[in-house]
Amino acid sequence: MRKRILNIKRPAGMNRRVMALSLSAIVLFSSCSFINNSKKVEKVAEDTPWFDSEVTKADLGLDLSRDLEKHQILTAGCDDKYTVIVLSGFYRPQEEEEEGDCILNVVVIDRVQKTVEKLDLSDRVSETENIIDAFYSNGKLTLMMNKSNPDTYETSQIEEDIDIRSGEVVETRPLGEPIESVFTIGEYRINVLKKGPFDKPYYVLTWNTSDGEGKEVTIKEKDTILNGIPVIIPMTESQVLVPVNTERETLYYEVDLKGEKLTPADPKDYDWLDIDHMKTYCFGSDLKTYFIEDNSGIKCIDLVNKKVENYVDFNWCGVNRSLIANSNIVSIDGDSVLLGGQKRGNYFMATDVVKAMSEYYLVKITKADKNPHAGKTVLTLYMDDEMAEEEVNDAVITFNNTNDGYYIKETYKYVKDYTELYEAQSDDELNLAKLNMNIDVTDQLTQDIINGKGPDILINTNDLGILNNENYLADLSPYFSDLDPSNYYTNIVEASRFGGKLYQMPVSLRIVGIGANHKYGGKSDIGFTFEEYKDFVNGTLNGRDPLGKGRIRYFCDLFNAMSDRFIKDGKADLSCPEFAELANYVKDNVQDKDDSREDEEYDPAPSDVRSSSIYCFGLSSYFEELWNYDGDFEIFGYPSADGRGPQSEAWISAAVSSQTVNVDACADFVKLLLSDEIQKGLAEKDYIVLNRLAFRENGIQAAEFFSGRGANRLIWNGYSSPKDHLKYTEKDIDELEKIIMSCSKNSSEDPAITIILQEEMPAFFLGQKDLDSVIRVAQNRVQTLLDERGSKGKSSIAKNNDSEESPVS
Amino acid sequence: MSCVKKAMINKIKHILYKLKEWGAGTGFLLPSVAGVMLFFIVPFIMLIQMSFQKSATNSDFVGFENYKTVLTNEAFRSACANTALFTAVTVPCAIVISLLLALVLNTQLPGKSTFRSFLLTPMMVPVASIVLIWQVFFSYNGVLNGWTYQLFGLDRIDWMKDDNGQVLIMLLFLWKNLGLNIILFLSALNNIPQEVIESSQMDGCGALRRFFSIRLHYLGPTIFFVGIMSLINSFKIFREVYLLTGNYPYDKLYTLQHFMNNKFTHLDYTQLSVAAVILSIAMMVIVGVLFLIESRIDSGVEE
Repeated sequence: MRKRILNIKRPAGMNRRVMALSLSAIVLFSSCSFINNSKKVEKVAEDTPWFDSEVTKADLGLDLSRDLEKHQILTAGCDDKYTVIVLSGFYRPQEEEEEGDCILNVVVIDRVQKTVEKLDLSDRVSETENIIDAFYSNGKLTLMMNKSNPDTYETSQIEEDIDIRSGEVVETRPLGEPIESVFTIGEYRINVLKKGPFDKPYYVLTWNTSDGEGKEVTIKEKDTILNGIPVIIPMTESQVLVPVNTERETLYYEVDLKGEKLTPADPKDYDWLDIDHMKTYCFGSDLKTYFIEDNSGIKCIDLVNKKVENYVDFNWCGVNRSLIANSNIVSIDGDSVLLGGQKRGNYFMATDVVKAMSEYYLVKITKADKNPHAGKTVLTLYMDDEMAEEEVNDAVITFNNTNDGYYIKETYKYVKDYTELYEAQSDDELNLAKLNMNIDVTDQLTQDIINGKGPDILINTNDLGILNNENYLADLSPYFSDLDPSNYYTNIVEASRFGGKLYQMPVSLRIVGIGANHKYGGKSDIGFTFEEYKDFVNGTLNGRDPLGKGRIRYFCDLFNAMSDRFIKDGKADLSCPEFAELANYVKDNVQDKDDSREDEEYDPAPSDVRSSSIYCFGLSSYFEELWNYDGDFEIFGYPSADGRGPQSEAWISAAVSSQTVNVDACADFVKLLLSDEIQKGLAEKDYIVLNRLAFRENGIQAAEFFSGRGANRLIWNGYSSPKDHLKYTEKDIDELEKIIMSCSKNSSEDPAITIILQEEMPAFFLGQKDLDSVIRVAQNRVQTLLDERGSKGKSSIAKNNDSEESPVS
Repeated sequence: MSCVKKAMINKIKHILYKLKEWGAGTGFLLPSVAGVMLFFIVPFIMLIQMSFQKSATNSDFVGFENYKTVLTNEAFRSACANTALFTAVTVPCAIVISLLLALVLNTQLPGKSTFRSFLLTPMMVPVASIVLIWQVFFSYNGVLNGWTYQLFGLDRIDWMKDDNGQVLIMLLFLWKNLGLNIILFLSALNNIPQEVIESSQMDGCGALRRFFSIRLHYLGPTIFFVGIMSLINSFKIFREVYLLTGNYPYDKLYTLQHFMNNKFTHLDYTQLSVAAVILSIAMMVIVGVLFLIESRIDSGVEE
């Protein structure tokens, strides 16, 4: 029996063994990937609102053979039948003219028939008059304009009612006092008049009731300067909220339009309301105020519940966002919104701006019963800036319409704070503000990517260098290894690799180098050796170095341009002769200067030889330089040991997150950006694109344009008249193409290595240390850095010469 | 049968009694244990988990791949060697020098309170100030180079970018940390029972014999503690080195903490985790050895 008694005493080490076993189990269990940071798959829900769109394009009737001096487009309004747009302005004066011809076109778009009629009322305005505002409702167009008496120069405001069918003036009414702005809310038209002394104005609001009685209220503050009334927001049918800007805050007043009563409101009741960024607004038939403040969509002010709601998300419209986000809201009626405006993104230097300015788009978006993309997997796209916004949006729409499995929507989560940038007083502060802005966005992006919440596709993030890492971005090499060099500038793609991997695919590029006449180039014809450059600067340019930087910055820029000679296969070789040659060249030939000062303005040397540091981002800048150099212009590389060519930089880039739900789908989108159609659109916007055909075709058109009417765009400060302007030919496009082909390296910098060089090299330049001891220390430190990064993290400026890192085909 | 039943009942009663005892103790310990678990144990487990992941953004299990990567990394090896050398030299020096100074201060030396204040002052000086002083003295254009050049015509030496830089950092460490160790030793010396010393004197023991046979045994736990503290502080020297030389110093000054700090900065959490785990294992081994030595020394000491 006793043998059956259980021994209640445990062996001494049992507890420890149990604990060790438990811990091992925990470690083993936790080593499994039960915590998954991968991005969660989001699908387009069935109940996601979708808006069908209808786009009507109207020609505003501009003379395309002439340039515009000034123009203004006013969306006057609409009713059930018509939408009326008023275009006013001036053409650029022709030769011998003092002023250009006036423009006043009224464009009437029949909403039902989809026809467009134009009334040319240009003869009704003279150069001393301008249209302030235009209103249309129920068949009547009213133009409010400033008229100036040519004899007395007195200005007065008048209103003219115009019959939109005949173009005849029905009635003209003088306006007693100048009106600053007009708001039409329901049956009331509220005029805002600014009165009082210049330094202490006050505002008077006037309106007529339905029975014609005139009413007014005065907004005046004793010790506060009023800066304007940006908008008036309806509260009820006869009550409005009037925000008034001051220097420190926004004041609010409630105005009873029937009772003619002004009641100051507590600003704290409206601190949820932000009206400073309203780009366009419209009052709906439900008395709510709808507005657009950014590219994300239309929002609605709900005064009752004291909140701002999202009304339309532009991700679900199927219309190019750059069109509708910059349009005016013409009307809102239930689930239907009418927007009118022009496409943005046509740079001043684009080939033919007038054509784009002559196009007006009416976009009607109506809520659909169901979302045609329901069930698709959502991919999120982030654009770091608005360059090439229109083309990227076109690509997004094409992708969404053609891809059965995925849908791209844009995110505006990462907002840059430009306050510091706007307040910068000097170049140093400007550079620091840009750096801080980029750091903030980079921090947000990296954290979100790590946590699986980041965007799938990133556009124009090549400046955010820390992202170039397999932790954040996917290697796109497998998708673009078969790019045909006869169709694309593949040398630019190769130059864009970081450590052998293609994280940021260049969509367009800019060229960085030194501009000079052809004959001054070195033996290589594409760049300078140090000796050649020394002779060029000291001899030809009389000592005025185009690079014009302080010693350290100069040295670092040249080092980065030749970095593949110094860092290879994860090994630093600063003891090579090229490094010594570079260091000695800078020490002997470059004066130290304060980099915080602006670069010196170019003054022609006595021999009239021109040379400057060049950042060529488009055909217009190339043509402009060609003109400056009297038709003989080449972009050479920075001085180097081997006389290499200029560098390239991705001007527009596309990257894919390493955390995306599907790299293949995202890569398909990137391929779309390289398609003929998109590249052609970019080329027309003055980008140097990767697609050779698009580049050449647009280049030849641009050569013709800038040889003729476009010459006006390249005139600066009246250097010469278009008559004497250089004529550009296809040969110039060939030359630029040669320059592109001579680019062999991406203009990039490894900040960690630059910091080490900035710390070590000054001692040599100042003569405190000899070069060998500086090289010994610099090499030691740089090698430690490279060793630390290991095989994964080669220097971010190392060229793809490593056979281990060759791209996967 | 009844005997078996009785035995079972007794066993249950015993277990219940043990549980009651255990429960009370556990209840009091729970808040501290929870804190330690939350801020040390659980993060450590997560650290180990991270070291077996593919990357910070991809939690796939990769076995010992990361360990292989880190252990074959030249910079990591160099950092380990530098850290090991630094620790192997400074910790014994810190113990020996501070013990010697404590013995001196424990005598009736005139002006010992002034001397003691002088030795304790570096503990109170902020790190940034210490770094500034070191820079003023030892930079390329610093005071020391100026003196040697002007007085002896010797060439300047860039101390922090030279193989001798490690010596300077060791001196910096010793200067900063001796004060605390001296205080601990002084306190321990005062706690040695005087009757044992007196009886040994009466038995004819010399000073050296008294020190090695009696004092050292009583100082055993304190030496162990000072050793642990010095070991920990030897890793904290990264602060001063970082402020003096930046992220990527001359290779002789590049320590394990530089490696880990740079990996943290570049968000390479997997390699950082591996380095931290390896460091933890090394620390456990070192502390374990120290425990072993201490227990042997301490076994003969009477309370």
